[in-house]
Amino acid sequence: MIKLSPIQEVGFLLYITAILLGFQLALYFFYRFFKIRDERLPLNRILLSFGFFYLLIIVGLFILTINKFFVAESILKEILYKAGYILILFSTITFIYFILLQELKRIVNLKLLKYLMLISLIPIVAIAVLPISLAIVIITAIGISSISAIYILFFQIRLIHISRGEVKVRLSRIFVGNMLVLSSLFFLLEIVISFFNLFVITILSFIGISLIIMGMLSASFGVYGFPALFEFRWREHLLKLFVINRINNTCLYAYDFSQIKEQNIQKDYKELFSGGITGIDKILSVITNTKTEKIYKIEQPDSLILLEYGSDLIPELTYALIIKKDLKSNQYFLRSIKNQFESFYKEILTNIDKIEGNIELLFRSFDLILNDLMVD
Amino acid sequence: MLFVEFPLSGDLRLPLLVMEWIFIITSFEISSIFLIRYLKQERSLRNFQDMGYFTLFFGFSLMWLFFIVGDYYVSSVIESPFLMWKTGSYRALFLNFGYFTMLIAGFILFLCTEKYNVILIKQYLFTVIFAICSVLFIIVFFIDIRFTQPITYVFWMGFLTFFLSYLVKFIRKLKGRGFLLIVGLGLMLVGFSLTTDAMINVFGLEGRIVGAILQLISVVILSYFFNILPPFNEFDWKDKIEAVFLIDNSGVCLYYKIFKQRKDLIDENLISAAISSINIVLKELTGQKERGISVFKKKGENVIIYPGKYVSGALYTTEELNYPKVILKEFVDKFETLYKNILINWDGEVSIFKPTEIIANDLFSI
Repeated sequence: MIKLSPIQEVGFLLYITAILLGFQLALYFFYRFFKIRDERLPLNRILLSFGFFYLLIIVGLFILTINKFFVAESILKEILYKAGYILILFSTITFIYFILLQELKRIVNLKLLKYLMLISLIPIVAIAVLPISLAIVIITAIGISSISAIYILFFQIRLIHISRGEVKVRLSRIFVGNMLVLSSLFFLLEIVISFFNLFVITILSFIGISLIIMGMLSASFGVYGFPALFEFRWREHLLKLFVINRINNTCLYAYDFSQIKEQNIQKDYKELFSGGITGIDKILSVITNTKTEKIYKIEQPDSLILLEYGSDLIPELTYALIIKKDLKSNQYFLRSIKNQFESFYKEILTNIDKIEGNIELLFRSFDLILNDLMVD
Repeated sequence: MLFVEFPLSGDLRLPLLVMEWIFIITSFEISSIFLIRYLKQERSLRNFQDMGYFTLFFGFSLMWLFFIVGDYYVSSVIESPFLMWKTGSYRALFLNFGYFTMLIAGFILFLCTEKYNVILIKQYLFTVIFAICSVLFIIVFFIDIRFTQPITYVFWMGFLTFFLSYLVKFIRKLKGRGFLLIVGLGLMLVGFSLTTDAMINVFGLEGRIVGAILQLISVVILSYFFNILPPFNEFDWKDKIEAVFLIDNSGVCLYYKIFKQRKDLIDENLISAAISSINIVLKELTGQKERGISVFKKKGENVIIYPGKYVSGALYTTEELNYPKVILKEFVDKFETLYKNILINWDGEVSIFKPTEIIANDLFSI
């Protein structure tokens, strides 16, 4: 086994730290994605893109580190060298692949992204087939891939720009992390720093590894508890919300999204809507002979009504969200409303028949929670 | 007499170093999670138990960093004289730094956890033992750095006794989680034993690698256990609360609940009016604009008051505890959010507040 000098050993331990953090970070991105995968929110693929981006960089770096410190045999060294660089360069391609979404065409040019993916393949092929001794090959390859990397950063800036609330803060932290990780590569890749003497190389390596660790930490703070990513402008498609008690066809809570300042929906309309929805559900159950199944969506030419039903604790509730356009985010939003409403009013809802006084006024406090949900 | 030479060398040096380094990083990460959890809590309601866990894992991490320096990077040759001692070595010096770090970490852990509970015989028993050990350690350290190691055995004995006493005391409330504690402590003990000089003489460096792996697993298990463990003070605080009142800004009692019947407790409306007056007077006296918790202490009786925007909560307790403050704040906040619109123009009808009974039962788990 190759014996390392103390300074090399310390450098190696720092590499191990970065690799350990990187693996954890990539796994956490995947975990966040799979946690909300069932909701089928398309933009959550961004979490996958970050996950693969970090995973490939870290695996590439791991191979290069092992190669740098422990491999002496020339053929194996060349193979590992190529494998390491290919994985690092491949990270930008996978990132672009996962953000090729119609929902993102507002902020990125999808055609350009496809071209960038193709261009980024060229250096990978070049590294795979040409001998590694041609330093110019790798430098040119890194140069070409940098274009994709810069576009990825540009994409993130645009994404942050149009995001709001918690998502914006967290995306900003991930962006800082990505900036640091990408810039650290210029200090860490042997081929880039090979023109300097050993002392400078050591210093640059330590700077690089510090940058990568800081980047990983910043991204970790960003991804920890990352909320679900809704489609852009999903809020603009919201019209009205009703929470209905099917037992007596009363409306417990109503909210008008179209006129935020004057949220008062006419009392008559509320009662009419509550009774109407319950009635439609009953009639359809009879004519389709599906008494156990419930309507979950009513489509109309200009709008849709999404429906959710109370959990086992309060099954008599119906949540109706009227929207302009059918977006996956709205379904998720309605489910979040249901969860929040039931957990917040649990004590009241389970004893609703015993409460006297102005119940409607009691449920008005939900405005605050609804506003909070909309900011995220 | 040591059969393994330090600094460690040979084929196992690097794998062992990497393994121990991973252990350090993992412990450090876990300690950061507890620190963040602690810092995220409201300043006046912070749970020091999380600070204790942070210190424990950070201490482990730091101790092993000193051990790595001592075992891998400095000489173990006994020099005479050595710095300010008659004899000693750099390895012994760094190992001592490690031991001392762990003693201090143990002291802070016990101080933070015993604050809320009597684990064995007397409150702060373990804290006092560790404080004595730390002082003793410093004295021996300045006399001869080669003889400090036996004092660290007290750490392990204290650590085990503390958690075993804890386990015995709360075994029924811990349920299956007690198993995690036993496994975690067992692995930690075996793992650490395998990394001691005596065991390295018997099992060699292979034994030390196994020890490092066992400690890594135990750190992960213990951190998970501490993470899901309710605060120590949560276990018996309920026995120490007597009554709770919700009072509106004009001094009217909106809700009250007596947990322990007491002869000398006066009418709830008089209590409400009195607490409302106290709030007004305090506000004038201190000129404090921010809302915060006030605690009125008397021997055997404490009154905690949390003034909300529309109502104030008052909780009678027999001891001053931190956790009931958290619950009182939660109770007042939930009540205010729920009844905000009612409270703004309240017409005096109290039946609307009936569901508060369920919230109170839920929070105070009656």
